[in-house]
Order: sequence, then structure tokens, then C-alpha cells
Amino acid sequence: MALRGFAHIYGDHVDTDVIIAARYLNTTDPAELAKHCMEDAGDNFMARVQPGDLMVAGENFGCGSSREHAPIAIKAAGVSAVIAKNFARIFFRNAINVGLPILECPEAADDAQAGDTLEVELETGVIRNVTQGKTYQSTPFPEFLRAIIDAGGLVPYVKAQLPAQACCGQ
Amino acid sequence: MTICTQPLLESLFSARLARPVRAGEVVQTPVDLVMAHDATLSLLIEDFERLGQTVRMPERVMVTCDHFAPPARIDWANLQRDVLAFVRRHGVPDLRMYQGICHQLLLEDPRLLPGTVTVGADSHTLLAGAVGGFATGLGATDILAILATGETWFQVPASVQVVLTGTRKPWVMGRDVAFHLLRHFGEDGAAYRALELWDDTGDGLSMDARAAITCMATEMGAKAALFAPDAVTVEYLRLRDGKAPELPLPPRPPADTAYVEALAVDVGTLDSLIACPFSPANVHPVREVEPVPLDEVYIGSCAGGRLEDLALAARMLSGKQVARGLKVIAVPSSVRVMGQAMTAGYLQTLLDAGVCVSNPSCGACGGIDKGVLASGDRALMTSTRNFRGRLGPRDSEVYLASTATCAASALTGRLTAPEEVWPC
Repeated sequence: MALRGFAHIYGDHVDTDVIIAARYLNTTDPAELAKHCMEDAGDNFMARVQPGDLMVAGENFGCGSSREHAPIAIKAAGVSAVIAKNFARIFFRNAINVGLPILECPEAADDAQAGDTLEVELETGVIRNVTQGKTYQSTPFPEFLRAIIDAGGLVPYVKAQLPAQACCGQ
Repeated sequence: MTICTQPLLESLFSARLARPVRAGEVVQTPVDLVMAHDATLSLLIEDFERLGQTVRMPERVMVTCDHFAPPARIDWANLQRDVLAFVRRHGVPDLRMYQGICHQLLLEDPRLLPGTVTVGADSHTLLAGAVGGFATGLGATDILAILATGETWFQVPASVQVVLTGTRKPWVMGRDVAFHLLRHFGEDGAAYRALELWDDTGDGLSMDARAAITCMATEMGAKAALFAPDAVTVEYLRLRDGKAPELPLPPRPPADTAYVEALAVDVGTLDSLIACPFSPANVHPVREVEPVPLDEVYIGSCAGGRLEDLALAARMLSGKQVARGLKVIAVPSSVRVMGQAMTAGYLQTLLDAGVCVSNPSCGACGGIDKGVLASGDRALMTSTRNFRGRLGPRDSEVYLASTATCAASALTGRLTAPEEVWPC
């Protein structure tokens, strides 16, 4: 399944306070969170984003607090995937856990311009910049992470595992 | 190939898995201690109940109400109500109502020992590595899975060895050492890595100072930060737990150990440092930054607000008054710390100097309450982050510094290096 949409470009170190400010952590409702997604970036993101669009960013995307509200807000804003040079550690896990596709690809992140049409194939990690006619290969996820993504996130994954699992603690 | 030549963290995982474990490996492991607080636990409750599971090892769980402590708004009160109902429903014995900031409460908890694995639904869980274990922050869904299964996976991080030497100037604090490391690593320079810290300093860093450093390792992108257990650790645990811990102190791994980087820091060369807007890694010596006027000074958060902080602030403000019209707020990091500060007279000194002393909680650090900023405000804080908009509107500014710098600036009403008002 290919994801397709316009690119919204951001720089390095986009932190979770910019993605969703702490003053909006008063709800767990994705639609409510989405209303304030990227509000402190000051670029009117929510007025511009269309369903399926992609965010493209530089280094260390999602740094800062562990708030899972951040990938939830991005996903609920209609963003189909985030492409970055790399992701902050907790955001990386959180995005997978809530089912927000993320791809690490410095070349694609460098080349993309605001408004470019991008296509992403999650299965292969192939990213296409349709506007510029370029194709990129991002690093595929390790197998155990794909299993979580394939299950639709960590909650359904755990649900599927639990009955059979003789867990830790021996 | 023997295990004793591994970085401490790899030794820790090797011991847990009873086989040699190297950086880069993905390991599954039970966790010893799981912390979740009111702001993030509330995120996972609905999903957890949908799983139809019970909390697998409730005796390993700590739930704190510290972000909304107590709630200042109805929606936060509603979230906290749900958290309290969850705790009741699942029989989690360890509930900390307004007892302090989750990370400080972990540090004070007898279950937190060298060699243990601790996870928390909060990024600054790295702080707990101050006693010499592996501690890291995870998102709510990871915590949900751990509550249900008792275990999780980690990619074992490569380690950076940091050896601290020298003797600090009297006003240079653990926080300044953290700033120095932030200046070295930048905001992501330690990403996916662990900091292994060895304290060879002349007077030794207190556990309070160590906690300020491991806490701020989060802002370097680190996955974990641990102080090698030593005499300071043993004494801390003895006072905390009422008995001396039975633990062998690890020998320093030799220089050819598999570290990705080895760093030596002479803390005697450090001056008071400050992080200017809008990044915790935008570090400069305080004396080189323009002495801008301030609207607020805040001493608190998991990166400040411990007994050492309150003691120094009291010493610097004793018999004096904070600058007129300046909002000066001190929030002890836990009820235990607050009690000790009360007994020692620090709180009275701060109150007499015109400081607003508030109850232990995350407070303004998360932009929640107890000192959020007005439009155009400029604040100096001991808190963890100064990203744009974290503590107030987009056009507010936050500088981060040590308690010594905050106390000095509270007296003058502008950014002030502590040595300007020293001796005190």
C-alpha cells in the first residue's frame, strides 16, 4: 500500500512541545489533540495539512518529553507518514506503538521541498519524490518491529501474544 | 572476552541474561520497577482495559500524581480521577498522592538499587540511573505492555565513559556539569547511547548533584545514564534504606573496553553555565551572557529542587530580599525533601526572603501550573527544558541554570553569575 501526499518541511530537533504543547495534554482524544498539532511551530500547519500529507524533517525529530500525545496528534492530523533524517529515541518507539509510520532517510529529507508530492511504500521502505522524479531507499525496520507494525501497533500485538505467553519472572 | 572488560551497562545486561551481551543486541528482559504518572498513565487506561488484562506484577509498579498536583483545572481533575480508579481496580499498592516528582520518588525508593532495570512513562526517568542501574523513559503504550507482561525489549546501547575529576568552585553545581556535557554532546549527540559516569572529583558529587546530571542526560538524547556505584552511592543507600547495601563496587573497566567515546571532565575548570532560549544545549558561561532583566525565577523540577538546591538557595538568600516585582518560586522535589528543608530552616529563610514556596510537584516545568509565563515574560529556571512554548506563550523565553545562578539572579532581578554575589 503506497502512501501519497504533499510534503510539509521542518528542520532539526522538532521537539514534542512544538508538536503538541503541554497545555493541551488535558485530553487523550486524538481529534482534540490534532487541533493543536504543530501550533507552536507558528506555520499554520493545521490549516494547510490535507489527509495523507507527509511531514519531512531533519535530525532528532520528536525530541523532548515522552508524551505519546505527539505521534497521536500527528497521526490524527491526517499525516500518513513522517520522513526524517533520524528520530529521537522515545518518539521512535511511540510512533511504532501508536501506528504512525516513520521512515529514516537523510537523502529524501534533504531533497524534499515544501509542497512536493511524495509517495511511500512501507513494505519496501521505498520513498518517491514524484515532483522531483527521484527515488530513495530507506532502511527497513528490523523484523520484530515489523511484527508490531503488522499487528497494527503494540496493543493489538500484546493482545495477540498474551494468551500463549508464559511471561517473564520465571 | 571476559565480562569484566565490558562497559557497566553491558555487564548489567550480561548478568541479567546470564550470557555475554554486547551493545546493539536487542534483549528482552523483565523490569524491576515501573513508574507511571497521572499525565501519561491516563493515556493508556482505556487501551489497557480493552486488553482485559490485570497488572502482572503490581508490587513493581509506582503510580504518582505529580503533574496535576493537585489539579488546577477540571479536565486535569478528570484525568486524575481515571488514574485513581485504575489504581484501585488493579490493586496497585504504591500510589503517591502529591508526594513529589516521580523521578525524585524513584530515587528515594528502596526498590531502586544498582544493577536494577527501571522504566518510567516519562522521559526524565534516566535520573534514576544516579544510583547505578539502567533506567530509561518510554511512552505510554510501551508502559501498557510492560504492565500487562512484566517485560519489554531494549536495544542495548553503546556506552560513553565519562570520568569526572578536579574540585569544583563553591558555586559550581551538578547542574553545571550537566550543562558542560550538553555543550559537548548537543541535543542529540548522545542519542541511543548510555553515559557511564565515574566520579573522581576531589570532594565527590552528592547524590543530589548526580541526579541533576543523569536527569539532564535526557536532553543529550541519551537512552540511559548511570553513575558507577561508589562510596557516595553506598552511603546514600545506607541512609535511605536504614542498612548498608550488599553490593560489590564495580572496578573501572580498562581503557581498551568497548566504549564508543571516552571523555574526561575536570570540573575544576567549569564556571556557572546557562542554557539560553530555545534549547537546553544552547549553553554558554553565565558571565558571557547579557545580564537581561527577568520576570520570574523558578527553583524546582526533577533537575533542581532537591535538598542541596534548597540549602544553597537559602544560604544565598539568607537575610536578603528577592528583587522587587520578580516572581520567585521554589518547589521542593518531594515531600521528603520539603520536610528536611523545613527541619533545617531553609524554607523559612526562603519565605523570609520573599520566595513563594509551593508544594512538591512538576509545576511550571511542564508548563502546567505554579508559575507559567505571561506573553513576553523572560524566566530563569532550574527546570529541564526551554523549548519555545514549553512554559508559556510562544513569545516567552526561558533560560536554564543552576540553583546558584537562579538564587543570585533572584536577588538582582537580572541574569547574574553566582560569584557576583559570593561570598554568602
